Amino acid sequence: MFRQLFINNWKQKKRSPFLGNSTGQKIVIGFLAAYFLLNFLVLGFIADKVLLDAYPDASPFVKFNGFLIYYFLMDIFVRFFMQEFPVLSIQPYLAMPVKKNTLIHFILVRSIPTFFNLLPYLVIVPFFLKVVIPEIGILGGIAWFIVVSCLVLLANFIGFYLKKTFDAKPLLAVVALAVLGALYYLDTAGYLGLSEAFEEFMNVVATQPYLGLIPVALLAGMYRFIFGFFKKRVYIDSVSLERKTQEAGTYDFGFLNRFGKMGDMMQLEAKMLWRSKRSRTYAYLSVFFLLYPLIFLGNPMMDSMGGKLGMSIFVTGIFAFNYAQLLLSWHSMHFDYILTRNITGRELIKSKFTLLAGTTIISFVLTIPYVFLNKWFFFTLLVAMLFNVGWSMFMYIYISAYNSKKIDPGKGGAFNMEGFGAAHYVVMIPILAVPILLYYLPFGMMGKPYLGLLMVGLFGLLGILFREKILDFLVSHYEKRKHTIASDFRKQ
Amino acid sequence: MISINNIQKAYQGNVVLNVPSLEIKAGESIGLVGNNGAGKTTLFSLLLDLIRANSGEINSKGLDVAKTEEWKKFTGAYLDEGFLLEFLTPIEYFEFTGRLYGKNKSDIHEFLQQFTDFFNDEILGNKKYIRDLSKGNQKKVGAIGALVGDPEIIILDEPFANLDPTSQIRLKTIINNLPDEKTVLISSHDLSHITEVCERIVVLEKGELVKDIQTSEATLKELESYFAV
Repeated sequence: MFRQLFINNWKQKKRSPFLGNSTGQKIVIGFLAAYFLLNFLVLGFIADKVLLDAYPDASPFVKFNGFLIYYFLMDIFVRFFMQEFPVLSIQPYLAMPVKKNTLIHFILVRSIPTFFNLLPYLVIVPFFLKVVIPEIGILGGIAWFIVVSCLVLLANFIGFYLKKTFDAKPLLAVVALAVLGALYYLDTAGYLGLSEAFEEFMNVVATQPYLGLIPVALLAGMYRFIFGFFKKRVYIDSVSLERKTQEAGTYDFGFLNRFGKMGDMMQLEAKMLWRSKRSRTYAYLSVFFLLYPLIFLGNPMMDSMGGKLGMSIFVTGIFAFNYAQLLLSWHSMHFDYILTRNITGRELIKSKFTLLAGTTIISFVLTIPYVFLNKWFFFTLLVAMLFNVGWSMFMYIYISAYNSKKIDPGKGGAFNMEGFGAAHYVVMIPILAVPILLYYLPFGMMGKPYLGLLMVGLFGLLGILFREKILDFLVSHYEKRKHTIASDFRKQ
Repeated sequence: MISINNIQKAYQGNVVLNVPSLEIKAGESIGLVGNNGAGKTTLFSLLLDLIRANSGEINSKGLDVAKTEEWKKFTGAYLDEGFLLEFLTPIEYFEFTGRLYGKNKSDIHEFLQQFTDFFNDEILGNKKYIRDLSKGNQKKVGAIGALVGDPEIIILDEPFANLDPTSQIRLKTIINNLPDEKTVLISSHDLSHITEVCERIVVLEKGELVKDIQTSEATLKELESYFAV
């Protein structure tokens, strides 16, 4: 039975219409995966040297163990935000003669073979062979390996549990994550001896390997706990399995009403954005990204005009970058409505442009306080806003007509690659080309950044001035593509 | 009202619809009948410019539907869930659709009054998004949504499917009570329903138009014997 479930799960993945067969996407994801894998593998081989450089008077083995606890805490975070856990896939089996326990075991076991569980082993295995075994011998080494594996799996199940409770009780999961974050902070700041305690524990395990069974017991306990958690929830009306039926929101963005049909269209889009899980995640993420420049405080990159301009383009354009990539796919569930109702292609495209331009301007206004860091930020942000409205937005609209992948906006957001294709990366080329050609190459390198800034700003302004002409072009482009898009959206 | 000329649609050389000529007069109500794969939905999709024909043309009130978007102003249709805005509540959906045709809130509320029975207290005033409604209630929203904006041409694909018996009967009454000047196109697998609401029945088989009859007492029997293979 278990085997058959795995086979079906594999088929489900492979045949998913959402996944698509875009080669570009596969290449990009493959490339990213290879990059991380390689990084971790290299880290595994040089970890002892790195640690010895950083802490010359401590043993790399001991320090590595200390870091494990940080990795463990971070890992839970990363998994919570990025890992996808298989749950819905068991729904069709609930009414079949399969034991519920089998199904739950399946969900739990199925969550183990993933990229996120492979990654740590690329560090652990080399380190185990190169450092641990020589240091504490075979028996202690094996105990060490078991303890570390338990940590990886514990992180897996805790992440899984938090993600599922987040669906049911968002507040609880936020609290749990805050506690984890606080633990991490307190320990790195030296108030808490977690890592030292863990170092100590590992030293003891090295000499008394049987103590390695303690984490195994912990893991078993966690497994039992999460098993019980699901046992209560394998019913289709429970939140774990089915998407929660939301009570309809009452806020209706009424202020957009007064702008006529264009306003109606934008109001509609705003509602969709706010009421779908994925787009809402993008909105939250964008707010978070507005704070991004703070990470680079004191970084010399921020001193240069080019660095400021780049950062400004990023913060004013990030929402559009996330949202506009799927500009038409957001409508994939109801594209036939758009096509048959009293909405012309021009009205659709123009409302899209206005919405994107509006969010860019809002981002600009929200980021103006950066002038307190450096007065030039005002100008780079202004230029970036003009550039994004007068150039990037058109590029997104143009390229979105080539993205006809169906998406379900109700599905979770962060790291959800559904509907992403090669086009999403290609669009970066014309967008980045402009600042490079107009700013960096001629002026930035020659030490005349102000002139370069002016050029990029003027370029954006030109786009804004000639927007009607550009929109005409985009509309005819869309009209040519709409039947293809519609038929792709209709594929189940 | 609608004239279909030499329309042909093929997928990878496989002809799924081939109608040399079909004329629909204003005020007629047409029932489209045929087994799965007969081309009913394809024909509707072509009428709504949702797919492109390989050859031929469809004129709606003299306008080529593939060339202009003017037909949208006088056409209301519901084929499937793709015609619903799943993230709205039903009332928001009606209001928004109404606005596209220049109707304000009170116009729409007045319009919806007549369907109180049909909605059976499950649609209006219910704080649920359309995506969370049952299939039957979604169909109700879609079918009534097609009537919003006072369209001259109404196209409904299998409106009776998924509805409970009471709602089916009420929907028949709604369709029969539509003003005479409306042109109505309905497809259905339910032969008795369709003969009750349509004056003219068109039978499709494997993409070909095989029967075109004015509904009479004998029509139901005729259709039943035709499909009893």
